[in-house]
Amino acid sequence: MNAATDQAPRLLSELAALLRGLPDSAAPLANTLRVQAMGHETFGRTDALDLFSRHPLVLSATPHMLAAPHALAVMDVTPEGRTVGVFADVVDGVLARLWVAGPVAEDAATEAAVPVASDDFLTQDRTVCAGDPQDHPQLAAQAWPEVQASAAEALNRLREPAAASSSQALVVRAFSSGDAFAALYTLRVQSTSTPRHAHRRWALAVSRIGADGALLHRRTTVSEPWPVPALVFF
Amino acid sequence: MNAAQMNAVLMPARWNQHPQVRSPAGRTIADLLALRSRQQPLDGFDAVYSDFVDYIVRCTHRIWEEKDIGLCRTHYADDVVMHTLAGPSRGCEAVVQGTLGALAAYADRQVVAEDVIWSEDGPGLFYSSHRITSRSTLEGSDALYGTASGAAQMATTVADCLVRDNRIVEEWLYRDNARAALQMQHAPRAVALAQAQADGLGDHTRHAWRQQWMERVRSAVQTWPEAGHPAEGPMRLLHAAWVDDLYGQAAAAVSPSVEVRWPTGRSGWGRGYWIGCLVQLRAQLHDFHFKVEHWAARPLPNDEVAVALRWAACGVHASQGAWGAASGRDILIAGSSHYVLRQGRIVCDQTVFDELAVLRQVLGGLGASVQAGGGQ
Repeated sequence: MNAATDQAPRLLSELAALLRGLPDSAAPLANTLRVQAMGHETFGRTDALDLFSRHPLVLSATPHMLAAPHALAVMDVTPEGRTVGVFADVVDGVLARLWVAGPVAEDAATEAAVPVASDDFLTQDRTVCAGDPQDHPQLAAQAWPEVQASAAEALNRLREPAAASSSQALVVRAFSSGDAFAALYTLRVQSTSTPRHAHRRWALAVSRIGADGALLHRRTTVSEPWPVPALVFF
Repeated sequence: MNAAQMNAVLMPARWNQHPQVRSPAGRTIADLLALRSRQQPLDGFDAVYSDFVDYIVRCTHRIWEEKDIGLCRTHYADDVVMHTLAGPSRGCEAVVQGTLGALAAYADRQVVAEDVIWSEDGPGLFYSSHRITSRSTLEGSDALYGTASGAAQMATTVADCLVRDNRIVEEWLYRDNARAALQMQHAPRAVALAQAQADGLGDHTRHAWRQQWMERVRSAVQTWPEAGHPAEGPMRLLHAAWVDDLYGQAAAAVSPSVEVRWPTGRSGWGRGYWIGCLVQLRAQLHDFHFKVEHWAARPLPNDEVAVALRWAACGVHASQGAWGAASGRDILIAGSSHYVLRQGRIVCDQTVFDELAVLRQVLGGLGASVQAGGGQ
């Protein structure tokens, strides 16, 4: 067993305790734990526990899990039958950052923000999936085409004509574990109507590929739309 | 001075020396507060501190969370100068009084150390760039935001400190104050306007620091890190963007899925968003000048590298933009950018400056002068 698989059962147990929002959870969490889940972003371990105590997420007994030394990805089905994806950054065996691609809570809110005009498709490159394998050193090189294909599938699930629209997936994290890989995406989904409002979602793909890079199996989940921040005009 | 001391003066310490001195990133509070034996030479520092990161994190914890505010008197020089974009404060007792006031209003303030990016700039002379996100609730009385509203704020601050012999001798403190105002349910423009009106009263020479700082930004020649220092890349691309206006070339050295966190809620992903933040600021200011005032870098867990750049910029607010109609005023911005590098490329940019103090200048505060031919 390598270090990643050695620590995976413990990390999964600690992750499950955190997601259930158990106030007496003794799970060692990074003091700087940042969570993006349920349409909320929290910072600090105490706010993360507060979030999940309000919105507990109960993992099944045997969720599908993929582990690397610096990350953990979990794909599971809730008791309500909804697929959820959880991705965690791991630092020295401690959960340090967390994303949940799944439902959005009724009290979801994002902070007000100064709007920034941005050209997401520089030089008219309408790439559906933005990213570079160089930024994901734990990802096997032959997995990259399927990382991109999974992004396209995530966008297609939204019934968005991905190539022609202004919607885009960015690869936030990706790693391989044996013949499998996990990839976390942030999706910017822009409407084709006028005015062209945009919203954000999160997606997680967990797949297996053969030695030739061909896809053997893929599971993808996409979050509900996150709330759009109120715009700040000075 | 012996040969070793001479060498230390001539050759700055390497950015990745003392790898046993760990970043607070990803560590538990128990790990951060565990007492350890001395991990690096720290002549003149209290015995309780194991290393320079421990000094920064622990003394902040002791002062703010253990409420031993008087420790400021053994951790700040008597004549310390604390620079902010709202003006400098001088002397250790001003630090003590300011901390007391903040805790009287926001007693539950947690100061969570996100990172401490440090360097040893000379023998025994340490420099830290400490990124903090602090959570607090208004249960007392605050001059800006009223009394006991129960409103909570969670704003990010970067405190850069120059430290010798256990004492901070100079500090640059940049806080995302416009975001804090919004969290406190106050309109930043209204808050800034009240401050600007107060600035117009009394002796205006107290605002001279701002003109002097802008003159330094305009006249100083940029110095650069030694070749191979991790800060060189981010400095060169910021220079390409804000000095040469070559944003596309600058962004080519940034990850295509870069995470961007800028003041007042700006949060996004990708090169386009990163360019958007830089252009938004630059587009409002004509005759733009920019200078990096300090750099540091340290290893991060998981084979990443943290870079801290303390910078200042100035220009004439002559175009409409995020800060409203052109005011024609000279604007100074001083901030800090913390970058995460993976495989040598920026994957995260967390930039902090006080946009409330920028608005205060736009609205005529801090002794801003009107340029001939300026807008409005």
